[in-house]
Amino acid sequence: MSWPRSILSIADFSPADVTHLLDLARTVKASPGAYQQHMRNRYLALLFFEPSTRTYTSFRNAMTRLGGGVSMEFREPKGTSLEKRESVASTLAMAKEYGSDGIVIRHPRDGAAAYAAEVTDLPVINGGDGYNEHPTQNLLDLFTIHERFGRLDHLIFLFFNDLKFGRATRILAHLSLYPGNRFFFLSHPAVGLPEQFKSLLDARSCTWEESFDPADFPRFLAASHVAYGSRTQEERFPQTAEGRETLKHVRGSVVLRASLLPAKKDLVVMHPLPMDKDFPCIARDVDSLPVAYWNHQAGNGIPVRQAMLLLTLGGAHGQ
Amino acid sequence: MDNRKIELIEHGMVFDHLTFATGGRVFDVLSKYAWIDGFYPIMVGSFPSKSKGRKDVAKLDGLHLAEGTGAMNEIALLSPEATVSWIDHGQVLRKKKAWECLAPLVTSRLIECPNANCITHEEAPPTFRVQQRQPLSLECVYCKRSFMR
Ligand SMILES: [Zn+2]
Repeated sequence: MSWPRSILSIADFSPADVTHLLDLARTVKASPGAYQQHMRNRYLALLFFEPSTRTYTSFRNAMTRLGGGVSMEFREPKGTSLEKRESVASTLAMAKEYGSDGIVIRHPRDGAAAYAAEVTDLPVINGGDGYNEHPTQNLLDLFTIHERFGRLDHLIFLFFNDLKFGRATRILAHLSLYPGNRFFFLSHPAVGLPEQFKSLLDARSCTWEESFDPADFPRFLAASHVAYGSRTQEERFPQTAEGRETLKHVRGSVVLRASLLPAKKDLVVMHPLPMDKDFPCIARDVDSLPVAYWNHQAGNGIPVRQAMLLLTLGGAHGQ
Repeated sequence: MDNRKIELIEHGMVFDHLTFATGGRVFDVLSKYAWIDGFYPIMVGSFPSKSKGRKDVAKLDGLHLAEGTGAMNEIALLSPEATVSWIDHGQVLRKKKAWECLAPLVTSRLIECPNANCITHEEAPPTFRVQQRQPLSLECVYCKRSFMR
């Protein structure tokens, strides 16, 4: 596949695609001034059928910093009923009429972005579809890892807390393509890594180890380059007495604390944000340590999304 | 007993070994397409089966459906293990399993994506890629959920 094209799933990306994107993101980040006019007279539609402050803000920033405009935008408040929601197809038709050159869509339904790409001829960027995919998060995570270690191969990763419902673990579909990567998984058994990922890792002959015992934290951390935490997706638990009971056990069961960190080690702690205010999977005492990488990670969202827009909307660097 | 019924058709199709209790839905599918294409009649019945207890049988008089087309796809989704026969001059021209007659990509509201949060439950037309034919396994093209029929 070549650029420009829609960005729907991290699974569609080859290592060469990612290298191309990350190279451009690095150049943009190093000299943002050089790209101030690249999107002049180009317009992006930001269609947020569910709210996501971080994704919305970073795409809006990315487009305006490239000199581009926004043709159409909305952010639906939480709890908007399904009945009232405008259809994806009619919204896309309107975005086209408004002169959009590309679409960013965020939608609470799984598969909504793939559907959007089918009903419009404009390039579509998936800003998160339900519990399915969040490729722009995965790509900025890959950028952050590459920025820190200079490579995406021969690294050791620890994914912890909610591995069942968190979309950040989709990055495994890509990290498993590189030689020498190894994976640790630490979670409550109710939110362990889904079978589909385990079969994928096995199919690609990756080494991995799963644990439901927080006592394994120090051992995993001592071996890892990247410790990646995901918020417990409480909204995914069934609204039954049993579901609430399980959630009570899951929340706060896996917490990375400063005392668990190895003394001296090349390690970064990442998290897609937002953190769970009441039950963070990374304790506050890690915040001020040099390993705390999540704010830097979020900041990378802008240059990486600038690179996505340049490539997807067919700017100067599209091929 | 079934053989005798097949012989009653001069030119048409027989859908034998339909999963018990899907005959009515197969009849609906045939009626829908029959109405569009203007052919009929359609007969349907339920019979004892040696292997499965009971089975349904449906027939289509006067017309041959092609593999991978609308009605064939929907019948294959409803009852993938059914036997489909094309009859001409009272003779069986050819025989296939329904799952052999399914297009690689099918759009049909007869089956639902098992993912309750899928966009097909709100807006997109349910569309599935055939991952494996026997036993029939489908993948939703939107949310990528795989499931067995
Ligand atoms: Zn689906």
